[in-house]
Amino acid sequence: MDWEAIRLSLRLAALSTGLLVPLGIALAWPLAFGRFRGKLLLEALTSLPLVLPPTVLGFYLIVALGPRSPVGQAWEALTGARLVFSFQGLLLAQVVTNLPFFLQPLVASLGSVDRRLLEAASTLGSRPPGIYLRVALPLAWRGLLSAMILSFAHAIGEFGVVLMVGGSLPGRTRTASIALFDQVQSFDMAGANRTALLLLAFALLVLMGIAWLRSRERTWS
Amino acid sequence: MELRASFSKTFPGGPTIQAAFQLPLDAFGLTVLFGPSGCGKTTVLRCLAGLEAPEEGLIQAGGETWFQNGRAIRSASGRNIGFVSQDSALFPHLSVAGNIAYGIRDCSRAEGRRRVAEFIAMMGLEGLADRRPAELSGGQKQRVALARALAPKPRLVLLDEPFVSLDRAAAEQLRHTLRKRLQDLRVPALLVTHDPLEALALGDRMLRMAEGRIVEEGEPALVLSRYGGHGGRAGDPLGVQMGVVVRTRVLGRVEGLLRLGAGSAELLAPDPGGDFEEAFACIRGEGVALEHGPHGPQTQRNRLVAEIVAIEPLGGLTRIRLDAGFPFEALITTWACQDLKLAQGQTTHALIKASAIGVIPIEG
Repeated sequence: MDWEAIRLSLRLAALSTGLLVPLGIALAWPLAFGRFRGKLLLEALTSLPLVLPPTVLGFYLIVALGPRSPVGQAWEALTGARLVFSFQGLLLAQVVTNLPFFLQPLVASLGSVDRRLLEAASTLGSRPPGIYLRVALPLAWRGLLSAMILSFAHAIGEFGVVLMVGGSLPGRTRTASIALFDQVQSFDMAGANRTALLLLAFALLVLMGIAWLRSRERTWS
Repeated sequence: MELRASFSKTFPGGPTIQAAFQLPLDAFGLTVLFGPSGCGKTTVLRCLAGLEAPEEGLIQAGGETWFQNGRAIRSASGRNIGFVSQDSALFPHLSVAGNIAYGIRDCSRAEGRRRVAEFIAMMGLEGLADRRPAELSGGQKQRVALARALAPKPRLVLLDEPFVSLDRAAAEQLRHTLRKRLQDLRVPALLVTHDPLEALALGDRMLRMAEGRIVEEGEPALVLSRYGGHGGRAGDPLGVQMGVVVRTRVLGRVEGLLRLGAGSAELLAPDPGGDFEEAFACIRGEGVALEHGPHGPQTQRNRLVAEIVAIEPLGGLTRIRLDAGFPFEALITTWACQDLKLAQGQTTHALIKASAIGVIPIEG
């Protein structure tokens, strides 16, 4: 078992989920309740990683984070290192890739919050950020938890984008799913079996957890 | 200082709701927005609260513009109003104290806690501060909703049928508390209701709505008398239920009945119980019989000498408008009317069954 790859996967998933929490919470409000021009475009853009082939997404991320891109140049000027094929570059790529997995359960859960409660909050003097943070988000906590679990789990299993943006550098960008790929490539079928089984058990556990959370979604009355 | 509203709102496929009225904001007063279900009362309230945007019109409160030319100048959060809905809409994740504290701003934490405690005591919610809404009865929930709406010291409270989902006893108890607390805090209120008894018991002033428009305005007893008495439409359930409404004072109690003074006359009516000095007597025309002279003992407890003010034939029935020191009416068959040779200006004897008089205590 490639424990280094598993540790890297866990670290990458935890950090990308950590970054997704504030970003996702900020984006979920306009997506759930906003009425503005460009909402459809925002919805489409944030869902894009769901339908785009990972290689296409990976390609554009290489372009966006590469040494010739403004982001890549700024990063290099700041740290002296390149962003692509680094852990940090991989982290950014994971945030972008997993954004829809975070947003979808959260937006769905926010959408099921009773509008009358939001109206009550507004007549009590609350403005949208307050209504969101004090009423809508606490009532949609199961959706938030589902979002965190789902994006964490997806980050553990992501392969295509990770390979495109990070390659397979042991200890830096070689995650568990890349390790599995390498094990199969080198005919280490026993090792591949162990890694695959671990990833399978983890995914199953996550889906059961989310199903349990959804079954308890409407217990507040 | 007053609230001036004049706006219209149309829902796709629905009638246009038009409202034009004024509400005083500088003193306590409970205005009732009364009308049958579906006439647009709640829409008017929601437009005032800023929860619904009218298509056009103007809403101003004490020189402050809330809505003008199809645009909300102030959103719901900036209007400083209290809003209580039918279903209380308490925040389920917060305790009773948390709900009441929600709208309290611009004060220290200690002051906030003091105000929460004050409103918990004021609304009779002692011992429930840490409970969640799911653990409360319907009446308790509405008390919390009222406390939550009043705690931020609003300049106006909007009440959307707050008693409709409560049982009769809980509703009566809360009605009494509501009026008293609004009076203590000197907060004017606009109450939406389709219940004439509630309107009479609570209202100082009434706006009557029908088919999306405010059609009448005035003292509740007068508006309801016109609506429920001779002004009511045939077949209108409210009209039949109410009869003519007369403001009376309690003179005493005798054998389980109330002695009520109405103008110079005296009426006996069933005692609903409770301590009150004034009451509305609702006299239904079907419960009034007429005769030319006093005969032997009758089952009717009220025998009044009355002048016939008008005779209005309604096909098989005739409505006789009478004056016995207060206005009321009798609904008799046209046959009986002809038999008795009743004529306008004549003096007659009106017999009113005590059981045909509904008594609605007037809240202090």
